[in-house]
Amino acid sequence: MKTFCLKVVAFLALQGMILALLGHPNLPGESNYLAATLDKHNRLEHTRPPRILLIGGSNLAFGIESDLLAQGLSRPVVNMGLIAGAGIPFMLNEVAGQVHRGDLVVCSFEYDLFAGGDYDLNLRQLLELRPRSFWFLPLSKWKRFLTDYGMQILGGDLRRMVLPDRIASGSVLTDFGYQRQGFDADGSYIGHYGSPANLAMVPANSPLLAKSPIPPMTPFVREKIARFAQLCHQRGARCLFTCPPQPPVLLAPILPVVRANLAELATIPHVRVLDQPTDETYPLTEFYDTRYHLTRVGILQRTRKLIAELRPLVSASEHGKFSNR
Amino acid sequence: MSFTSAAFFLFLPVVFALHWAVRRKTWQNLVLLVASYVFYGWWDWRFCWLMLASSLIDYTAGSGIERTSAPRRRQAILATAMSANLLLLGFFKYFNFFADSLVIACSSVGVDLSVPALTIILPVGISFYTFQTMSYTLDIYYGRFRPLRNLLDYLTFVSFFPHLVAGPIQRAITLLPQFHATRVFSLESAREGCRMMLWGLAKKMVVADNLGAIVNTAYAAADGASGAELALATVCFAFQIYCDFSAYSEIAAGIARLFGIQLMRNFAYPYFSETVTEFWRRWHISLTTWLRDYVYIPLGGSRAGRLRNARNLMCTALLSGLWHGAAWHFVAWGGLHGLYLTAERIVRTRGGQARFARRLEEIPGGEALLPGPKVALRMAWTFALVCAGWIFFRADSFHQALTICQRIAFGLIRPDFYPALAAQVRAHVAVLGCLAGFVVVEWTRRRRWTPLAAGTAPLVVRWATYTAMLWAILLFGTQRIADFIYFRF
Repeated sequence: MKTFCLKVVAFLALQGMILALLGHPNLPGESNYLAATLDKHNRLEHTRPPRILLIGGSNLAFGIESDLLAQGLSRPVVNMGLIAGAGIPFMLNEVAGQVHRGDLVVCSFEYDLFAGGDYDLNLRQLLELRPRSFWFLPLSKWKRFLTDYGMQILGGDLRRMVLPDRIASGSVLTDFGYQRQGFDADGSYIGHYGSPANLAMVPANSPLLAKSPIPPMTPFVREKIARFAQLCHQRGARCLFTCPPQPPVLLAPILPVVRANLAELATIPHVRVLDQPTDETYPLTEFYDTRYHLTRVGILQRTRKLIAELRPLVSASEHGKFSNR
Repeated sequence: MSFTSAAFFLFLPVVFALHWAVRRKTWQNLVLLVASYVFYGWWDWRFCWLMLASSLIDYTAGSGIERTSAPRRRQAILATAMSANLLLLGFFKYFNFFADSLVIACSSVGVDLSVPALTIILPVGISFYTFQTMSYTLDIYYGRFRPLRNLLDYLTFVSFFPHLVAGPIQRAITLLPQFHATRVFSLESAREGCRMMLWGLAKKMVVADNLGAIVNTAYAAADGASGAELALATVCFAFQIYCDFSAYSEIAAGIARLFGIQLMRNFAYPYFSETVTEFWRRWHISLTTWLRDYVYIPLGGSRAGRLRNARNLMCTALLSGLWHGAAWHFVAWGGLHGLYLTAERIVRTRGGQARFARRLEEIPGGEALLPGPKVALRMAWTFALVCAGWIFFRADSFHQALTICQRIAFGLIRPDFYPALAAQVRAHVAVLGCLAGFVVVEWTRRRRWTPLAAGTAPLVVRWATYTAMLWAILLFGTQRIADFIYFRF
């Protein structure tokens, strides 16, 4: 038995050596939009508290100019916003281990995420780019990911490391139309700043302007947020929520559900809702390509609003006056 | 849990460590039993109850048969156990098939029959473990085996996870004694097991799954696909199903060896057969021998006249088709093979052909490094016949199978068929090149149980081979991982 185990270990060690010799971690050169997750986690791990941590989907990537926010509040900003398809539990788990005393954690979840949805494909893509993020998957997903996608994710990662680009096919990554290089150092997307495109240019019957209903918040999501807020509280950080941007015309049909969800959110201990959905409406001309992505003009407006909302809290935290509500 | 999932690669070392950490047979079997139910319940924990019920039916029946010597009472117990097994199998696998067929048959004679359609989930591997538990009772009835008193050993024998969901279908007479004794770790057995697993994984993930992409594309658009495309897809399917199913058997046998258990051989290079009769000696051996022992021989086998023999062959082949799936195209596949076998039997009795149907112990294709022209021709002819059968097996319906046969048959006589075929081959040159390499390896290593069996090569060469295969699996076998085809049976 001992001999067998030693041989297995020796064989696996040999494979590890081969990987170390042949594998080139070409991920730093990966230009896919989602590869920005590597930079965001890197910044999260290496920025010293107290910080402003932004958690959410692409509404934060395309909605806050982190540089301006950092200057306005004199605090480093880590903008973790990347893709809504990752779902609220995953986004919260990504940051949970890195929350420290004095941090202001600002969440801004796309309205439809309160129903607890996420997309396996987006999660698979994130895991292929950063396998360590497996630990951020909610427990309910472990079984499926280990059973259905584990080997594909591992294979995709190894292909990316070992094979030349031209034959490293089989990746689950898709072209989002944006690039990793479009992010600034703080994690805000600025690659579209020069583009004249905006949602007002889209035909009225475009799916981008479809008025789709949203479901109410599920107990599962409420529980996840409550636990996260409790964790922030225990670590001496604050958990805040700011509404994502919406054009008035698209917000109107979902407003009752959104308000109900926010009312529910406000009942969660240690969560503070900073604004109302109607405070975060912008004209169609200030949206870039979706109802959650702002143009530079919109981004600057939203960032200034957020600075104004956070300033009292920053100064309170500097004077040790944190309160729970 | 599939053998090709990351979950399984975490599960196996844990079970291996636990199994060998305990010394006594009872504990070893308990570890295997719990592991097997976890393995099976990973799909759907409700399936575990079904497997337990199926196991207990035959355990009780076996004990009942042993306790009584009255022939009528023994027959009654056997009939009850068989009926219960077949009812379970029939309900979960065949209810909708027979209900739909009945409705269609009645409507064709003008009777409007309404049978409720049930949404029944087919429990994974039900055909395999049901046949295995049935053979346990049958063997006791025929006096080949005495029933076990130890329920733990028996339940472990039925549920033993490596072969649980896709075989090989083991006989109690060979497998049960292995659970009845304390197992001692054997280095050679474990090494051989690892080699078998590696070879099986490479076959499944590198060859079968990549061929599957070609097959699925062509068969999904069979109405619009050309004859050349369908012909190539059918050949690819022949190898896909072989590499898929034989890989499962090989991985299963390899895993079993890690636990000191020997499973029977299920495939013996079937595509090097020179007749369809020989093909069936080498393909899915555990099912073929099961059907031979419990269906074909009890029906009279080849002892009766030519007509009765043909009937017996046809019945067994049709049953084999139906066992595979509850659909008419599977029955047609079985029927086609029944015709092949009957025709070969007739030709054989007129003299001549028997010597081509090599026995299982013989080297397929003969001793020579390269087959002679006659041998090669017979192998090619047999392969073509088998491929024709695979069309019915792979098609979604009987009607689609006929359409595909028609397209290929008419395509073969068209001049543009061959350039189109060449273009198809060029389009999939990487996968087909890999397939060609696989066939060469199988041919040159066909004297052994498995091509990767221990040889006299130096350690460096062996480890280099294993390393190359592992990396081939990781890099080229993880792009599209499909379930094992036989899971659905």
